Amino acid sequence: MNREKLKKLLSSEMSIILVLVLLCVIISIITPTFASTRNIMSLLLRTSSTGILAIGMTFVIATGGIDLSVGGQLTLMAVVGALFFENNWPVPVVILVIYALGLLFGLFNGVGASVLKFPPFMVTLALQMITYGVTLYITEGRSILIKQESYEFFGLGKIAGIPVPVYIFVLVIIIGTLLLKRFTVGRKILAIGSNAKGAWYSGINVALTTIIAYIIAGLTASTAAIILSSKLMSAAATLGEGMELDAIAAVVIGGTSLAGGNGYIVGTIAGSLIIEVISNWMTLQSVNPFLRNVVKGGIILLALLIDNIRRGKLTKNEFAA
Amino acid sequence: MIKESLELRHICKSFGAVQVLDDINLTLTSGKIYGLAGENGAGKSTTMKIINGAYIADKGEILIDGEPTHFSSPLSAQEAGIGMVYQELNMLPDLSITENVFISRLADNKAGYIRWNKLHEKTKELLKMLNLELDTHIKLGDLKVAHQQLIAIVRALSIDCKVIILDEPTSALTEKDSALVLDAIRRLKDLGYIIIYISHKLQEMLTATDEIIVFRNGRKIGQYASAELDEEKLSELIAGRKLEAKFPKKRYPQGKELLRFDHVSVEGYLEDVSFTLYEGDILGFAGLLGAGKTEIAKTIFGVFGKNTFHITGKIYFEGKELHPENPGKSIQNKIGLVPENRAAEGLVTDMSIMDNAIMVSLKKMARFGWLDKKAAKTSVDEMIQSLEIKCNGMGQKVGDLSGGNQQKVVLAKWLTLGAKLIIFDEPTRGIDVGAKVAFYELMNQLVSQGIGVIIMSSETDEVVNMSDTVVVLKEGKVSGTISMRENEQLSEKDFQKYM
Repeated sequence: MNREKLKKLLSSEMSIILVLVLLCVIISIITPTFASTRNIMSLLLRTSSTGILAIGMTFVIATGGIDLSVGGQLTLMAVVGALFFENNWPVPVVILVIYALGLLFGLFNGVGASVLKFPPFMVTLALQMITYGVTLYITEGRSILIKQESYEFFGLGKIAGIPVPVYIFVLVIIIGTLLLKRFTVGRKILAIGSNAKGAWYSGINVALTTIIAYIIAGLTASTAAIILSSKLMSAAATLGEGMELDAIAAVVIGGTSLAGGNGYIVGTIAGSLIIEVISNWMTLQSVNPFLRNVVKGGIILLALLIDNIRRGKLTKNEFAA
Repeated sequence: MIKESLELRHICKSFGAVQVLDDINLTLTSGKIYGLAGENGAGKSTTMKIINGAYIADKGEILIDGEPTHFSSPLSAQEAGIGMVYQELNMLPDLSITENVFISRLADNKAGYIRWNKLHEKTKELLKMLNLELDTHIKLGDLKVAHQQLIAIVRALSIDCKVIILDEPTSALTEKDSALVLDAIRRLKDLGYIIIYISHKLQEMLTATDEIIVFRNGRKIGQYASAELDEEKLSELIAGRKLEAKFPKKRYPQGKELLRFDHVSVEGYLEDVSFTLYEGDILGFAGLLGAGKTEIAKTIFGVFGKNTFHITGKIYFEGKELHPENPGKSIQNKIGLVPENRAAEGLVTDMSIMDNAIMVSLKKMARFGWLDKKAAKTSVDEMIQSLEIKCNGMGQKVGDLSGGNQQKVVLAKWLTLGAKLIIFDEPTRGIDVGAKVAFYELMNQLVSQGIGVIIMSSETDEVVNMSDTVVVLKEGKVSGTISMRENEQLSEKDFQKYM
C-alpha cells in the first residue's frame, strides 16, 4: 500500500476499525486469554445488544436528534413481554407485541421531536422517565421469570457454535447499512440532519423522516429487549439501565457527529466493540467494576479528540471561515 | 498604527500543493478607495485575510509606512489599525447598536462595570462620522439592512483603525441603500482612511473607487485608475478574455399559456397580483428589495403553505388550477425553485453533488425505496457534462464548489426531476462575470426545450435584458407589466419609475 492510500484511509471513517484491530492485538498480547474462542464469543454476545441499540441510535443522531429513552423502552418492553408469557401467550405473538411497542415509542418520540417541536433531548428524557417509572410500578422492583423454554432460542441458542444474538446483530447491521446507504430514506435522514430547511425545499417530508428515524431506534430497542430477556429468561426494571448512554457513546466513538448530517454504521459497530473489548479486558484483569465507567468516559473523550484531530478541527478556526 | 501607507511585497501563499497567491505587490495610501476585483478563487479574499492577520503569508512582507511588520493574528493586525467588515453581517441582532459596536470592550475598567451613558455617547459620535442619526438603544435586528451594514463599519471605526476592508458591503442592499453605504465610505475617504472595497458589482465599483486592483488565478493583473475603465473593460480584465455579449438573450416563438396568476393576494406580502407566463418566454420580475419578488417565487413553490398563510385568488398551471401547499407538492407538479439563498434553501452543502442532484428525484431513482445507483450515476454524469459543472467527481461536497458551480448543481436538481417550470430567484448573485453569461445561456436552452423560466432579480438590467415580459413590483403590487418583445429599445433606467 502506498503512502497516499494509507493517509486517505487514516483520515477516513474507516480509521476507527484500525483502532479496534490495534486494540485487540495489544490486548491479546498482554492477556492471551482474550483471544480464546470462548472469550470472543462471549464478547460478541455482549456486544450484540448494545450494538443493535447503537445502530438505531445512529439513525436518530444522523437527523441531529438524540434518543435517551431506548434503555427505558427496552426495559418496559421486556417486562411487558414477560407478563404476556406469564399469561401463556405464544412466543410469536409476544414478539409482535414487543415490536409494536417499539414502533409506538418511536412514533411518540418522533412526533414529539418533529410535529410538536419538542427538543429531542427533552422528549426522549421524558419517555425514559415514563418507561422506567411504569416498569418499576409494574414489577415493584422484582424480576419476572419467563418460563417458555422455546423463547430461550433468541438469547441462549446457538447455530454452528455461534450464539443466535450474533446472527441477529449481523442481520441488523446489514439492514441498517442498506437503509442508510441504499434506500432513499437514508438520503433523506442525512439531508434533514445536515440542512432541514434545504431538505424541505427539496420536497422532503421532514416530520415524517424524523419520525421514521425514531421508529428505527424503537425497533432496535425491541430487538435488544428480546435478546436480553431471552438471555436471562427474566425481565427486571434494571435490564436496560444506562444502555442508551452506551449506545450514544458507541455512535460518537464511531465518528457520527452529534450535530447530525452524517452516520456511519460501520463506525458505530466498531465503537460498540471498542467499549465491550475494553470492559471485557478489565473483567479478565479483575479490575474493580466501578472503574469501568471511568474508563468508558475516558474512551469517549479520546474518541472526540481523535475525531477532531482527524477532521482538522483543532487547527482550524471555525468562526473565521 | 498606520499613518500613510500599507504595502504588500512579494506575498506568496499556498494551501497544500495549491498556490493561491503568487508574488502579490500592493501599495495602498491614505485617503483612497481601492476596489478589489476578480473571480471567486482569484485570490482577493486570501490577500485580505493576509492583511487582516487571519492568514500568514508563506513568503513576502507587509510594510506599514515603509517599516516591515508582521501580523501574527487578527488581533495584532487590529492593533496596527486594520479593520475588517465581513460580507455576512456577523453581528448580534438581539443586542443594541451600542452593544454591537463595543461588544468586545463594554467596560473600560478591570471590575467590568459598564458605564452605559458614556458608551452611548461614544457610539453617537462614531455614527456622526457617517452622518447617521439613530437611537443607539435600538436593537440591531430592528434596523434596515443598510443601517446594519453601516453599524458594522462603525464597529470597525470604533477600534481606531486606519484601513477598512469591506467585503461585498452592498450585496444584500437595494440601489438606494447601497448609495447610503457608498456615501458613508466616501466620507471616510475624506477623513483620510484607506478603504479596500471588494465586490462583484462592477458598475458600483467603477463609480465608488479611485483605483481598481484586478486579481486573476492568484496573481495581481494590474492596478488601474477607476476613471480609465468601463464595465466592459473591467469584465475582460477579470475574466482574462474577451467576453461574449453580457446578456446573450435569444427570442423564441411564444407558445401556449404555462402559468397564470389571477388576482392573487397573500396577506401581508402580495396584493392582487396577476400575470401570465407563456411557453417560449422568460418572465422577469423587477423591483426593490421587499417589493414582493421572492414572495411570488415562494407562493408558486408552495413555501407559503395554506395553513400558515392566507392566500386568495387563483393560480393556473398548464390550464389546471394549482394549489401550492408545500414544496413537496410543487415538486410533484414539476415546478422547481432556484432560491435566493442557495446554501440554506437550495442545497445540502455537506452532501455530495450526486446526493444533491437526485434529492428531489429520489422516487424516480428508486424502486420501493431502493436506490438505483447506476441510473443515478448516469443521470448525474450527464448533468455534470451538459451543465459543465467544474468538480473532481460527483462525490465532491457541494459546499466546496464555487458559487457558479453550486448554482448549476441546484439547476441540475430540477433538470433531473424533469421540471416544467423553473423559478430563478436572484440567479446570479455572488457569481463571477464569466459564469453569469454561461448561466444566461443555460436559461436560453431551457426555454428552447419548452421549460418555463421565471427570473426575479434586484439587478434590474439582468431582468430587462433576459426577459420577454417584465413585471415590476412595488410594495407587493404590480406597478407595471412591459413586453420586451415589443419594446426592445427600453433599458434599465426606463424601469426605475415603476419602482
